[in-house]
Amino acid sequence: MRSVPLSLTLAAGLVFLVVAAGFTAVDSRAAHDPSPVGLPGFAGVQNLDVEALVDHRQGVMRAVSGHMAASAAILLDGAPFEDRISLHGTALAGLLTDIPDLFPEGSAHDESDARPEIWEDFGTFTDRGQDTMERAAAFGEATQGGNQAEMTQAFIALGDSCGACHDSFRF
Amino acid sequence: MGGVVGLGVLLITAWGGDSVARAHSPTAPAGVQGDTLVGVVELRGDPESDDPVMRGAYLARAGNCVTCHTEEDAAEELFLAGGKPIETPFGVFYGTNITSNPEHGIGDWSEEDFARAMREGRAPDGSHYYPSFPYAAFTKMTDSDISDLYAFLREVPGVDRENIPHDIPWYAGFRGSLALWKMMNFEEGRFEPDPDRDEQWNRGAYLTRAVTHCAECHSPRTLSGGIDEGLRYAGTSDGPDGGSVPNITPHETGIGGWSARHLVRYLEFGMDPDGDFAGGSMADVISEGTSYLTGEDLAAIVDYLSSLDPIENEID
Ligand code: HEC
Ligand code: HEC
Ligand code: HEC
Repeated sequence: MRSVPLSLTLAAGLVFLVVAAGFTAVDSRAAHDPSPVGLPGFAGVQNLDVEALVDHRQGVMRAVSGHMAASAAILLDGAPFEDRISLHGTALAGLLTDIPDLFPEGSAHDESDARPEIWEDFGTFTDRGQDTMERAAAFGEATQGGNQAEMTQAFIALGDSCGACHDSFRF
Repeated sequence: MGGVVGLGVLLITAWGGDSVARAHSPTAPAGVQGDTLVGVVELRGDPESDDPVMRGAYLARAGNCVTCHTEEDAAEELFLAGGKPIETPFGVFYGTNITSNPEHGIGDWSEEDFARAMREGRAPDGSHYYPSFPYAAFTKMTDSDISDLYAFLREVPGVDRENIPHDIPWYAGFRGSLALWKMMNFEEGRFEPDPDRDEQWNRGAYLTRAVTHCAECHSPRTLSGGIDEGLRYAGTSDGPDGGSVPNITPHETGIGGWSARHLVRYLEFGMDPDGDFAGGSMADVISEGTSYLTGEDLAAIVDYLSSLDPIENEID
């Protein structure tokens, strides 16, 4: 009997690994230790409290989400609070004015879902943030006008932009 | 479901077209004959159309062909022209050019060639495809759906763009051993409707299992790389692109707390019940795929998911 060449056996065995590993994870988070923040405005402050920065930005994001959920219930599902939609629109426009500032260099943290790509490609991150900020302003404005179709369209455009940033910059 | 229908109508009637994720133009010329590229890219498709091209366009969205075979943020000219990296910890697979270009795309394929790729995971020369092309699900599609997809792909303008070789270790480049993977993890076959269930459930089961292949990401894998059947749809912390993928069975550790309306909204728009927005590969699945589906089909998928056995599996 002819023996199977070792390289073939190896290849066959290893391809299993590849195929299986195609669905196995590496969590790149572990590779990024939290490090002290160097904000220009905080020159001289060593070890700025990264945990506080993370708590703050996550809190902002959750507040924003609350207004998104409430707006959807009113605009898309007909919850009878049309008179309050501008409260949510104004809050969203107000909260979403400074997204990139919420993510200073060095504010990666174990408890954070921020991807290191934010700081590797801060230009794109800033563009995504800018996009959302403009759409939030447009939604805020639409809710002042009160036109249902305009509000809904602006709302959907805003929501799409949240996903576009999370897609690339959040774990 | 009124709100959902309302949203659908709004998208059709009032969409401004400046959105990143969903500049669908449902009013693109019906029965595109390949003369306008923008027409094909923007084509929303229609599962009820008399035109196979329109039905195929719809399936290309539902099956996420666009998500994997089109580079993100690419120019419209590169629609389905490949180059999209599909990251795995072992290397990067690249979606291939499936435009009608005869040299670099699949323009010289017969319908039989195409059906064999979808159903058997085999190339025209008989070699095996990597399962990163989810033919393990597509094998269950109906003949007529595969034929409609083929009709649509023939209309996709050919792009003269070479495939990027997969960036995988040398030993994985040996396609012959994929036969072993197939022997263990792949069974050719058609979707069988369940006569005890109604039409909506069967439509949902068909779409979920054969076309939208949700389980390919939402299930853990066995050592040999097959779906762990006992935990199908129960999520995994080792997802395809390295992150975790949630449990989507109706258990409290899964989507047990989501109403049908929330699930439909998520697949349509990416918003979860808390007002948060999907990220990761699901954002692409939604923006290039499920957001194009009709309200009825989304409701059918949700009906099917809600009927799954609840599996306890906490994914963090
Ligand atoms: C420019 C990028 C960007 C945009 C735009 C953006 N987010 Fe985020 N979001 C992030 C990042 C990064 C995190 C992770 C933050 C962390 O954990 O430190 C996050 C986290 C969140 C969280 C989780 C907070 C928590 O408790 O951990 C929610 C909810 C959220 N975002 C909602 C939204 C909504 C709603 C919008 C749109 C209105 C939005 N985000 C727009 C980048 C963005
Ligand atoms: C999860 C990503 C993914 C999805 C979804 C996907 N494909 Fe693919 N497809 C791939 C990859 C990767 C390859 C290359 C496989 C290989 O080289 O073995 C491929 C290969 C192919 C091929 C063979 C091309 C050739 O040049 O040999 C065809 C045809 C094809 N896909 C059609 C489709 C269609 C039609 C759909 C939608 C119904 C689809 N694919 C959905 C990833 C995907
Ligand atoms: C390419 C891989 C992939 C495919 C295919 C896929 N998903 Fe997902 N899905 C994910 C990932 C990753 C997440 C987590 C998203 C996030 O972190 O925001 C997710 C999240 C979800 C969630 C939210 C669950 C939760 O608890 O937050 C639902 C619901 C869902 N998917 C349903 C589906 C359905 C239905 C399909 C088929 C139509 C599908 N998915 C196909 C990768 C996928």
